[in-house]
Amino acid sequence: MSYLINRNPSGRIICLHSLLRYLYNKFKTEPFTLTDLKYDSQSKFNIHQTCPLLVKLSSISFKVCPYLENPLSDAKCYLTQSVQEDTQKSKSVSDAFNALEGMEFIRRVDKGGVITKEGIDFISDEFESENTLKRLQSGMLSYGPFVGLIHEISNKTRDIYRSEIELGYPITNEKVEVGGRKITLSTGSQQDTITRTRSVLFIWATTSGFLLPESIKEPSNPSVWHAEMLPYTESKKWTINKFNIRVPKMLFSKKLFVKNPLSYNAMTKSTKALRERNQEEERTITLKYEPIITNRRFALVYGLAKKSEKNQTLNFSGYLKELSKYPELFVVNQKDFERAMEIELGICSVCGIPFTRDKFDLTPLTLLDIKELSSGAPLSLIKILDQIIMKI
Amino acid sequence: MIFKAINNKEFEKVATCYIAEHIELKDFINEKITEKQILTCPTNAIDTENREITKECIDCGICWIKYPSSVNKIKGVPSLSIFKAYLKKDKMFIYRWLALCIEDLAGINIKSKGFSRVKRIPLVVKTRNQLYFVKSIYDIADFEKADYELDDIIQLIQEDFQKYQIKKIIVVINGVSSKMRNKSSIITFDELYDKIINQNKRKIMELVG
Repeated sequence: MSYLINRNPSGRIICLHSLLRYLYNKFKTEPFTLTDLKYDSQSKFNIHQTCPLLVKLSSISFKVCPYLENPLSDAKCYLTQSVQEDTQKSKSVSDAFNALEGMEFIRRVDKGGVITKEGIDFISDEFESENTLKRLQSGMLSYGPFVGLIHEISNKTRDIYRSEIELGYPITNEKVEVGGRKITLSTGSQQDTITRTRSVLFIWATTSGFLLPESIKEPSNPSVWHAEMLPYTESKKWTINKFNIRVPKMLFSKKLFVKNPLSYNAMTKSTKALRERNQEEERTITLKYEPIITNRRFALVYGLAKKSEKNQTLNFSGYLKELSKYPELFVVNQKDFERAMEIELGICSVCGIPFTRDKFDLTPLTLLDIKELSSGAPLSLIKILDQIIMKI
Repeated sequence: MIFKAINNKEFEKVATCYIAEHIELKDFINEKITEKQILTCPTNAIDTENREITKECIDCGICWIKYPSSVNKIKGVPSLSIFKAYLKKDKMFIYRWLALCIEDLAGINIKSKGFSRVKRIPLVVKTRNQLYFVKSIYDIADFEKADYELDDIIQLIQEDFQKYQIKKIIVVINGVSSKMRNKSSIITFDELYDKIINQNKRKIMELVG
């Protein structure tokens, strides 16, 4: 079950490496909870024991996390915060969890996780080793949103600016009439979220050798690209906006198998975030229509993934025609359905299944782990989609 | 650089100090405050091992104000341009600086009632029956926005704190002169610095009139 990451601290892979090492020291292959990821001053184990980035300031006698605004804060670690102080209200630790899960280094179980074999391999070598880079690339390319990003940048034929890439939930601007007033559904990502997700995934791509930031020296030894890139990826702020593309041309010539696409429950943003001024009504209406939005986005990704398994294309107009026969499942507004679904197609790339298009035929470029994708999806929905996909 | 360490055993203490931050306005006003320990120096220019203030010092003077027995002010011209360059990188530091320099009760990032989300007042100063809400801007052109933001906050909370007269203060980092506008006191950073560091004025009343 993978989710879209969107917090800057998860961008520093070396921090995630330290976190995983701490988790392994404490739990080995036993399950841990989300809270267990946080620094705990009462515990024998903590991330500071495995973190190589702590700094010694001349004014104090102990080492501190260099990224905390207040180095003396009880939060102790910028990536996880602590049991004693968490100004991020667990959002940061949850994002770190999602990042590790996305790269296949941990697996979700009940309300927590366990370290996977891939995770153990990842931490078995020092961060700077050649093996780490290989494992990182493999891990990142199993995470749907990262694959989506890499595909988008691989389409460019010149250097790219970060702002050229939009990576988030599609914005359809659909309106629903309530008591004579038209309320816009808030189902797309806000600009700040897009910026954060993009920023994290760009730094992942920089770490793993798919992007070279302008003005940064080309690594002399590409097999430890991630280690040579550390001075940039470790910095407090990533200010470079222009990148040279280093994605191998053949990467999408064969279908990549994406083990961690966004799953059913991650097809929409967390509507808990919808609480700004005058948004109460928008929130209520959006929550009402959220199952439909989730279903229709899932339908697009699932349809493409199923067709990809059979090396077939998905006929978009035929698919929409069939989906529209189940308005209670997929349609907010029949008149606007086609336009909205055109925009919703953007979810496919975010989930890790980019495609090429020839009029109405969509050719998927990757294979998805259907079980992971369908995690959390109602069986009745899957049955209906299977019938439709067989038909078209 | 106009500050110098005094070589005494006490110097180690200069490294850290305490500030009220991230607390509810109600708690702040009722003085139910747990202060947080922070580094005194924003640029890590305090070297406790060698008992010296290093060249990273931006002349903010917090160490001197908080620990006068361990830090001396020497004759010379303060590096205001370096301080301002630092504020360009970290505008929020101006609130911490002011909160730590003045003698009245002050808190930064104070949480107050919002519409749906909690609002944060960058700096609140409390005197006997007055509350000062402080916001900083780089340029006077940004005045309207800052003024509206403070109005918004005041509108939401004034019913709850009727006992207090709430005053708005806007600090202009690159401003030229202080004045009143739309019931807001506008004070420039240069003037504030001069009053605090050169004239030893530490009461908010003395600073904003």
